[in-house]
Amino acid sequence: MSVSYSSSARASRRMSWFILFLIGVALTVTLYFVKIHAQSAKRDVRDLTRAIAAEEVSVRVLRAELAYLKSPARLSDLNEAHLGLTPVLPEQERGAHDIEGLFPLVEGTEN
Amino acid sequence: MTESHAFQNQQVLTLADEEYRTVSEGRIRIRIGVVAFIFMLLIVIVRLAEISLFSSGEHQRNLPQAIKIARADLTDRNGELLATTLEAYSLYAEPRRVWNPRETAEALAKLRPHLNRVKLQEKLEAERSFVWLERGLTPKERQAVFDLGLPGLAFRKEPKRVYPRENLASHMVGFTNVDMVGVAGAERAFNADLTTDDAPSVALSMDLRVQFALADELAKARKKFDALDASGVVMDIRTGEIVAMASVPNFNPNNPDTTSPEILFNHAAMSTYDLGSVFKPLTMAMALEDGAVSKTEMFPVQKPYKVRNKFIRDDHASDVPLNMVGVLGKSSNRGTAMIAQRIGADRQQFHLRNLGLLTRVDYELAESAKPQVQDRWGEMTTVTVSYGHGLSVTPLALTAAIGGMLNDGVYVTPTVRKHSVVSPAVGRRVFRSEVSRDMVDMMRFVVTDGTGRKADVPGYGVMGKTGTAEKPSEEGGYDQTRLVTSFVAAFPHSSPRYAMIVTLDEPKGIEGTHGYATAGWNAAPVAGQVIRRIGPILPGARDDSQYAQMQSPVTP
Repeated sequence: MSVSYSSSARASRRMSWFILFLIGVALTVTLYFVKIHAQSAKRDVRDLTRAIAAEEVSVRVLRAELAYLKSPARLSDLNEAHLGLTPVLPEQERGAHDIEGLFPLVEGTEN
Repeated sequence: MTESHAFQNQQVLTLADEEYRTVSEGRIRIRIGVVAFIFMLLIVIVRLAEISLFSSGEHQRNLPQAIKIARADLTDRNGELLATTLEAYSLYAEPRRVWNPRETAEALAKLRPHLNRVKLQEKLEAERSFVWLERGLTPKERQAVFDLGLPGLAFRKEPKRVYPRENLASHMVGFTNVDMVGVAGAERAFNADLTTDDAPSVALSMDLRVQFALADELAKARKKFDALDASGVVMDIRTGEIVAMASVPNFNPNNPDTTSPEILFNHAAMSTYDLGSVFKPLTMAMALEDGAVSKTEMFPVQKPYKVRNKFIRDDHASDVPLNMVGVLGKSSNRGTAMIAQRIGADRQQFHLRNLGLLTRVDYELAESAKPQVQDRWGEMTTVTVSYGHGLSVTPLALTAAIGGMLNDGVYVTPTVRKHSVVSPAVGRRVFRSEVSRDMVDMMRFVVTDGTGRKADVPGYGVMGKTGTAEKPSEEGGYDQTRLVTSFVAAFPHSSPRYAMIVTLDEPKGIEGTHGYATAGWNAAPVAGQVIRRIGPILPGARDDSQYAQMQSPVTP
């Protein structure tokens, strides 16, 4: 009687160990996939960081180029060569109070 | 039989023992194997857990380093870019890997002519593992060097400071050295602000459009009048913000090493001059402030006037006595000398110190010269200083002083940084409001009826004063052929907001000026031309009362 109980307990212990072992393996495999996923996410972050950094560099270069292209001296030379525009002169300025004088209301158009 | 049985039993027992031993040994091996397996598995699990959960830092090195902006941008007051940081390539050599230093040096010097071939060869033959050859190459330049296919040469990516506006505002913006440390101008002044982690861009007080107009007109004037150099400042007198500051000739801050030291010199803030009659308005204000004279008092400027056995000379001699307004309008040295004697040396020095004219301008830039003050301040010094001789100051210092006088009598220290709501301008009172108002009218009179008529711009109520000073002669005294001409201006008359100065160093008389080289013929019209260009740009520059008069013809 005692022998059969001892055998059953041993079998139960073995089963427990086996289950624990399976849990351990399952956890290990899960951990492995989590790790792989995390590494993949990190790689994505790294790639995105690189892409952002590259874009930032490009933006900075473009801003510098734009600033160069917008330089007053350059625009002035281009204007002289192609357009012949001149800066606004004081005589050409008008104040808000001059509008009525310059553009008087025509009778009958008030409504 | 009994013996035979006993023997048989013994045989069976022996066999049973051997089987049991074999099974037992097998079990022990299996157990050892299981234990070893579990142990190994545990090691793997623990290591995995350690790596996954606790080793975040170790793998950071696999990530790219975030591109750090080594130096923040500089912009003008409207956000226009003045200086930025880009990636560039620096060329270096590992001399031990260079096959033929002479040929390598020759090939490099041919491609990059500004590099000295002999020095290159010396570097390439050095007993060192690393030498810099050139820094700050553009991608195109890097490719050209790369295409030479020279062994032992390599590149390192580095940040480089770039100034897209090139010569424009070069003195004010300044530049950095090859290690990206600011060494001049705003780059030097704001070095700490620009280099902190994630520093935002720094906005200067400068308006790029105004800066261009000023620099352009100064360059034209320098050429027209064949002057050694020309400088100018435009300042918002209410906030102290320097809206423009130019010195011509200027330089390209992208290549400061190739510029001569004279050109790097910011004459507006570093050159001290005896600026001449532009000091007279200050003398008038001092006298009014101290109650030393009244506005209606007449001064006998038509008669020769002697101080300490020296005659005071008037360039625009008057035939009749003049009151204070007339003295300023005619720019009479005699009248100003008489007024200065009433003020006295002590009060004159007090006012000059109050106006910041006896110390360097205390603003952010290192480029600020100390005034040259005479050791002994006697009566003659008081007289000569009253009309701008015997005290050498920078054009910037004088602009700030005149600005303080016209800004309701409140002096605001100049600044090159854009003011914000959180850092409002702080000023100190130097003259009473009534004195300031009187000076506003008197300086307007100089432009409408005096020596500064060529600076008048309809609609902007220009006020001003001319100043022509002879430069000190090497033999002692003054050299009448070498002049410094200035025009200090402010506008609008109805509510003064901006002060400016134009200074020409040794301008020559030309046909258009009938051979004259005085300020009324050169500096004044240049200042007027600058105001014509910047007036429509600057807020608060228009003189509304003048506009009302100007626009009246179009009113039906």
